[in-house]
Amino acid sequence: MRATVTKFLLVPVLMLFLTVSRADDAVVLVTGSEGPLSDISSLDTRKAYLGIAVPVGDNTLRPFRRGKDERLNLIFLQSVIAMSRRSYERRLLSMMLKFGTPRPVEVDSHEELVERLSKNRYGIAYMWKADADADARVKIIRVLWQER
Amino acid sequence: MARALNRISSRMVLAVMLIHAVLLPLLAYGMLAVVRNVQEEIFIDHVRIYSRVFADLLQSTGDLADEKRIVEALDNAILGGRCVHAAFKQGDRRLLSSLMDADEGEKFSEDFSFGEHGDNVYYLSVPLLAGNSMAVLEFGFDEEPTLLEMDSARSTILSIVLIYLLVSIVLVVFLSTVLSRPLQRLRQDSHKIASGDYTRKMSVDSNIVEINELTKDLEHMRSTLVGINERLEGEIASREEAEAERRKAEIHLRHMHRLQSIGTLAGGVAHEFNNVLLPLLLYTDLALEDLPPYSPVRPNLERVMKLANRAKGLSEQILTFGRPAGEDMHLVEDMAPVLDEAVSMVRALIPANIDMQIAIKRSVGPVLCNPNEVQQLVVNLCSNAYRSLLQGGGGIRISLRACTVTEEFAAEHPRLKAGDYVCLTVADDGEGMDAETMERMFDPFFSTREVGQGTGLGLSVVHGIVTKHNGEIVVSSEVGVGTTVDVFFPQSDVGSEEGAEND
Repeated sequence: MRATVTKFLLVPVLMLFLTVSRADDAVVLVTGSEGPLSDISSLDTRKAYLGIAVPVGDNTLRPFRRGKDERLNLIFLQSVIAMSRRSYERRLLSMMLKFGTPRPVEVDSHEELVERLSKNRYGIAYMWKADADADARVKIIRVLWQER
Repeated sequence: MARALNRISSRMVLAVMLIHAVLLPLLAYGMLAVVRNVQEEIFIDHVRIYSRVFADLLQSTGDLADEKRIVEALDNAILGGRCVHAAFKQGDRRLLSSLMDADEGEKFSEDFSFGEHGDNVYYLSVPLLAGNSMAVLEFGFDEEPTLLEMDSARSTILSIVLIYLLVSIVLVVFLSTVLSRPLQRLRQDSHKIASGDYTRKMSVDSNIVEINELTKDLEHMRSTLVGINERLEGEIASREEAEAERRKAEIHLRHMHRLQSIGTLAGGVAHEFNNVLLPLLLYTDLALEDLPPYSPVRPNLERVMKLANRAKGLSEQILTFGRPAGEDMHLVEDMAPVLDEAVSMVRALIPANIDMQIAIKRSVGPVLCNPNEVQQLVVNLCSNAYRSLLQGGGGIRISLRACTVTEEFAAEHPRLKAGDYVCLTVADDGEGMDAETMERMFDPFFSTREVGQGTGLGLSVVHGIVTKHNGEIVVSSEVGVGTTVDVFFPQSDVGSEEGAEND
């Protein structure tokens, strides 16, 4: 019920958002500028965000995400995870119960996200390409989604 | 209308309909939302994973520079089912499925939720690596089947809700009928009781405890009220009966006082009259003794003598009426011989064509009486009976029997007491008496006969004799049918006590 109401409220907001979004919007996978990560496949990215441990050398990928940017998350769910929101949540929960892996850390602001990435060398996150370009503390690993 | 609406069944149906009117739309809306959400989620999950797997397979199974292979893959995507749009884009290179029109390729507008853009197609793009650069697979999936499923689910839900509503109403009507039927029966019972049918018991069989308890309470109240009512009615009836008896006794007492007053007056007059008559008779008798046998005066004096004797007889009758009790009374063990003598006198007086039926029982019990007065009583009663037969004929019945006076009978006749009596009855089939005549029949000198035909002292003397004997005279008469006179003489205890002593 709440999801329906939320969706009814969300659809006009999204439509408004889409009309004002730029044609060259893109979502990119980033890591800390000082981090060792340079290339991560789309499969590993999916695994990491689905709660599966992805080893990189002796370490493991540490996924972060921003919870507040609704459009960004929708693109993430559709283009990266390829699941609905509920399915994704259920999947995370089942993985956590099955393997005890922590779910991706969710932060509220871009600043906090970048802060986390700076502190975690194997941390990854997704964000708007424009935000990544504007912030020297992160580096782009790959493009996840490109506006047509 | 308002009365119909105020019935329990109407109220219950209205309440249920009101509740359903509020809750059912919410329920239906909630169910539809759940169905829609589930359908949307299933759809989005399917198309996203399908697209992702498709992209991964395309990326991992061959060279993405091979355009023919890519177009074949895109064609397979569309042939696979609900996919209506399949395109590959890498930089300026754009490949469309051969099963699509060129125009359809331009319609791509990425959706992130079901039904977005209202074009019934869910468009999404899937990035993949083509060599060192990024490529995008564009898919469009038909939302129409899912929308149809949602419509079908909506119809099913609405049908279920409607059926639920109808079944609820039917059940409520049934339940309200079950509930209200015993109440209606209670109402009918109470209405009948209120209309005066106090004997109607309130008994309603119901499974509902409250109604059963209410019925018991009402029945208890009814039975209590009926008991009170019956007691009150009984008291009213007994008071009315007592009042009637009191009035009757008062009338009888007044009558007795009147007769007593008249008797006293008449007795006084007769006594004075006797004081005059006795010297008249004495001196007339002396004069007759002194007259020669053929004296012309003798017939006149003899007429004087005769009339004086007649006057003496009258005064004696008057004295009999007014004479106090206790004079010349003695115990008669058997009244039958006394009655036999009286009957023989009556037979001599009454013409032979008058039918006389005599039923005198022997040894009916000892009576303290004056036999001469009893005989006079019989003669007077028979004389009256005979007089009443002169017009239409008929017979006279004389009987003597022992009888027992009950409490009830004694209550109707104040001078009688419950106990053993000797009952003398003289009945005739004569002309009978009306109420007015019966009211005055014991008054001295009251007579229905023509002047000169009677003295009007017959029944007065009878009454006087009965009163002296502590008895009672009960007269029943009907005009044209006849008259029956019952004379009750109390049986004497003296006789029985003496008998007991002798034993």
